[in-house]
Amino acid sequence: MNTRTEQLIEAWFANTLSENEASELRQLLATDPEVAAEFAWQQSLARAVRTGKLGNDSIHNRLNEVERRFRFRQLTFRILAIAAAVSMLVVAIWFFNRPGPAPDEVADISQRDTLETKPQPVVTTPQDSALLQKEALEREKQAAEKELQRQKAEQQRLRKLRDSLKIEVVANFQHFMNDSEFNAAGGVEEGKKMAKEAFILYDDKKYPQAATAFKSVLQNDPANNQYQFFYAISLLGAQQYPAAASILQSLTKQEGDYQTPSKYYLGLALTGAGKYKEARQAFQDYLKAPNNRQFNSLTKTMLSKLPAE
Amino acid sequence: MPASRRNTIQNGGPSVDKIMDEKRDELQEFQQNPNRVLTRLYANCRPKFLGWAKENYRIGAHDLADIFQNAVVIMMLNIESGRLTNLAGTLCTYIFGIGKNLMQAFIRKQKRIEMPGDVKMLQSDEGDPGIETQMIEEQDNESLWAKVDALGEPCRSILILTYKENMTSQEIADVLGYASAEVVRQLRKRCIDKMRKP
Repeated sequence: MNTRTEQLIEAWFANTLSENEASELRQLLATDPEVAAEFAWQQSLARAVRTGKLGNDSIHNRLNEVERRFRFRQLTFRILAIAAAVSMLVVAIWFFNRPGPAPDEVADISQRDTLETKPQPVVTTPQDSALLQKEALEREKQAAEKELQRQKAEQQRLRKLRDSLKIEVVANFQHFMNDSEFNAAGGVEEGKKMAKEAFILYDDKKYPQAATAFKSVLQNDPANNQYQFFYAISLLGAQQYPAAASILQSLTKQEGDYQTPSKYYLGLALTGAGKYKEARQAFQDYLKAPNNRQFNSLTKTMLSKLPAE
Repeated sequence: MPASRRNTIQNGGPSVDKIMDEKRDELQEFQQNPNRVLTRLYANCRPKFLGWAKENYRIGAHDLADIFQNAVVIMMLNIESGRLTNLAGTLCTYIFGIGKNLMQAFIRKQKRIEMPGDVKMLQSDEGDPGIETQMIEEQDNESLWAKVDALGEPCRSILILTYKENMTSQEIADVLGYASAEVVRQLRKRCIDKMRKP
């Protein structure tokens, strides 16, 4: 069975077959018994495999145990939260319904208040001063602890925001199609072997290695926009955000095929580097740029995730 | 105020080196105490994943929960097999990457083109198969599945991801950490050839 037939069968199982390819496969199945037999065999394999699960018993047992504990913990927290809410409600009801003082007591209290609010002479003994100083220090300590808690909570919030935005950057990173002469179909001059190797690594999505290879290539040809662009994308794929941003910044100013997509990727790089205001500006520049269909919806998604100005 | 506390307040947060160390530590921590790391992933990462997936993909909650679990299983298989030894981001980011590939394959199921021998077509052409036929088919499936199971990893995962999750060879390479789609094709061919032997 030839490679083309294998590719068609593989594409059918992966649901990536086009209409033309589907017609081609039907034709082969109808005319070639060997292909029909192989296809039927793989279909029976697919039916058998559908009953199976990824992983082994040890992994599933561990995950079941984790899920069980997680659900128990969730249930416990919910019960505690409900109990706390009910207690607060009971306390609130008691507080607002508690009996007030009797009329006679009110009169006594108001008289007592009058007596007690008369200015009293201040007596400051050394013990009183020490006590006052101690209380002042205690209040200062409490204020400092509150401030520390507030700052810790703020740091935690910023850390969570940073982590969630980094996840967004990875999720919205798209491999830019290699339109260079160094793709699988293209030919190569002898002197450009290094560049071809860099693009092969890029096509295999080995971004850290591709970035290193492009860096070497650019030493011989530093003005090449295309190499710079794919170097920057490789850095972005390898999550080296500040380095990627620095190259993409200059590419957004250079006219050519890579100017518009550079604005989207610059937004991603700046988000990854934690520079959210600049990232927002880059994404907005992308939306205003011509030929911006490719990343239009991803840009809007990223803008919705960035913190408000 | 003591000097140590002054320093804590004035620092902007943990340094970049500390974050990198935390990422390396996460993989090590998983090796030493997988249950703790998994519980944390379920508590913190799963809600983020489900929320993000609901916004970006039209997939039901039940299917998303399965996809998240599959992504975690694949992560564990990759750690067990030694294919995952270095994390570029956090384990949560890693799971997001796997989940994205699984979701893309899931959505493509709606584009399935019918071919001769496809289960849907058989049932519509021949009416409801009898109980005996069903039992025979189930037995055949079970014995074939037993052969797949006996192959062990990585054949088991590659065949399930190909025929049950309907992923492309490139997607399988990405989630299992192989160098290229071609490597996956060669491995799959070898697994299938083993199955053909009596």
